Amino acid sequence: MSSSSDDYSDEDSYILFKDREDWRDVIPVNPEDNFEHEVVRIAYSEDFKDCFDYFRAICEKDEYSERALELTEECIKRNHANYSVWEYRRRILKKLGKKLEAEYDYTQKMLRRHIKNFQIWHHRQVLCEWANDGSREKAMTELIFKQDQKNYHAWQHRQWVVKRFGLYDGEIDFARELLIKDVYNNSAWNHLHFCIQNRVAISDRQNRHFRIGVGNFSDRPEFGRQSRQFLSAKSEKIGESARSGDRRNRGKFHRFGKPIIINSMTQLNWSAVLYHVQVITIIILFGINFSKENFWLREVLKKTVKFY
Amino acid sequence: MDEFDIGNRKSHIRYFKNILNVLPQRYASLDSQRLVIAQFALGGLSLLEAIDEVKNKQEFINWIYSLQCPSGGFYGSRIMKNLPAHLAKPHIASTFAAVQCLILLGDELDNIHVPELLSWVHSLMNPEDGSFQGAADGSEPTDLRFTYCAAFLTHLFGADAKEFSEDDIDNAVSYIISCQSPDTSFGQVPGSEGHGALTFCALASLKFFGRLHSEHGVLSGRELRRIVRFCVNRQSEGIHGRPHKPDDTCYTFWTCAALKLAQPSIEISEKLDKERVLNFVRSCVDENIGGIKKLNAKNQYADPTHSYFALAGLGLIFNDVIPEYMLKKKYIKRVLRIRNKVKESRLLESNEL
Repeated sequence: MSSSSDDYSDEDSYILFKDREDWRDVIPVNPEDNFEHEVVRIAYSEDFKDCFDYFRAICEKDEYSERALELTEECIKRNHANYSVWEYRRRILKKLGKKLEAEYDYTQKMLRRHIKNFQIWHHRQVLCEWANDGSREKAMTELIFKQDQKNYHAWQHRQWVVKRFGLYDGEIDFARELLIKDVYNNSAWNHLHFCIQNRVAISDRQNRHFRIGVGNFSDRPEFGRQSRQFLSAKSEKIGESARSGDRRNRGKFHRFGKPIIINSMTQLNWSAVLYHVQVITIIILFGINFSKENFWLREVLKKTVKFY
Repeated sequence: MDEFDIGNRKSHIRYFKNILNVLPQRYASLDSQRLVIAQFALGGLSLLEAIDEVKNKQEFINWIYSLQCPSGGFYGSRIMKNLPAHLAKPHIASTFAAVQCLILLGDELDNIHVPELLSWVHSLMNPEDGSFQGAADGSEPTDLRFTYCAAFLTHLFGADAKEFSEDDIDNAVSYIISCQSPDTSFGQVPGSEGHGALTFCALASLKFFGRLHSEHGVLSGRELRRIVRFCVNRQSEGIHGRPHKPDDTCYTFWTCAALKLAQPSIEISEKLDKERVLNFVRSCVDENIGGIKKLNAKNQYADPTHSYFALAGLGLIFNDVIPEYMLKKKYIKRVLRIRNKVKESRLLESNEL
């Protein structure tokens, strides 16, 4: 009788709404109105029909209550892509003036199960807008990245949060760490570029904009420094892998016989010279690996070289 | 047209026909977008030259029209329609799917409420940035995919200047451009990673708005060449949508269509190895139930999306599908005829008034 979906917990104890004492006052509304020539029918289970019949009834009553909230949760379990149910759920939350802690936990749970669902990600974004708070979103997206490093929605959400709430601090480091683990992570490259393009928020320079290609050179040391730091960290990693014989990166870096030693750079001119050497070395050594997908590396290097 | 054969033609036809009939309970999450699933199934049948296997075409057409909202647009299913007016919102992707289905079924679109539809599409546009929502009042947020649906609908139904002014088009186009990633491909929203499917949505929208390869074109020759290179680099064996992602059968359509739109004069087979693509798609055929899987993996099953887009992609590579319309060449004549007919009848109406 009950569905076989993995989403349902405590299947045996689930009670249909039509059998619940506290729902006796609601008359379910059947949507199908006996339209004879349905196409693309779905063999709904009894509990699916039950939930949505009651959902319709609640909507027609314009009821915004705790039990209505619970009903939307049951509907979402059975069809997490129904945007009308999510919309009604938001209206209930607003009308009840509920604290959003529980809702954050709920959406996180749902997102971990359905990481590519547009409606859940949108719901999460709306919660952040309501609370005017994006502080937990970075950690949440990182949970999703553990399941899917390149999840498009998670990256988009993270970018939205970063831009909306000005949370650029640490983002370049974050992207860089991911790129050191996997230099082919296009999402991380895009994020790196996004953060640099929009705003590099160094703690004592929150209000400067560092736009690539415009402005005075003296305004852009951070970008150059970040790029150098990134590439030097990457080169160190390459060197480390080569020295330790780390097999994980063997396939990517197997052409490199010896590590690239990067000195710490303190003087701009000296660093520029060393940096050019580094850049040329990397281009040559990576040239073949990146022959197809060297766009990002070229782009970042080009901007940095232009900077000098 | 070149022929392609991925085998099991009869089982694929059976697969699509089953979708049009009844889907099992585990597909309940597709319940809000049954029209879109219908489009994939009908589209799949049309690509297999088997649209006449649909015996109950008129019933089908009636069902689609029953999902039309009197104030414009289509709902994805009755569950989405049969809600109180303040909650029932038609969806632009369902509307796109409805029109596609009607074209494939041979309907002349006479029963579409055109002025209501166009003003509803216009109402979905955010005047501040030119983006389009999926459904009204923010229940489905803005996204380049919805821009594509809007562009198709306004192009087909001939939105005139009072419904869709030049300023509106410029606004929509500026949103498309703002979604361009630095590697010249397009993402879902501004700042997003470049993606094959969204690059298709962007280029097709620009084509419908008359801003691609025209005197008002907004993409330079250099950008278009870079887009071609982006698309070409998406082939490993099959095709994927973003750099260093695994191959996925649905990108056979998205990425190849973007390539064809960026450089219409070339044959896709000059730029991509079509035999490798064909072999990849063949390897993803679901031997048990027909249809095509997303990947060649044992724990994967065929699904309507990947089955349709894989076939559409092969149709495109073998020169039988027009990319921006997502339809076989033989339907385009009907589409253009409908477009002219709608235009003329609206002109007559406005003259009478």
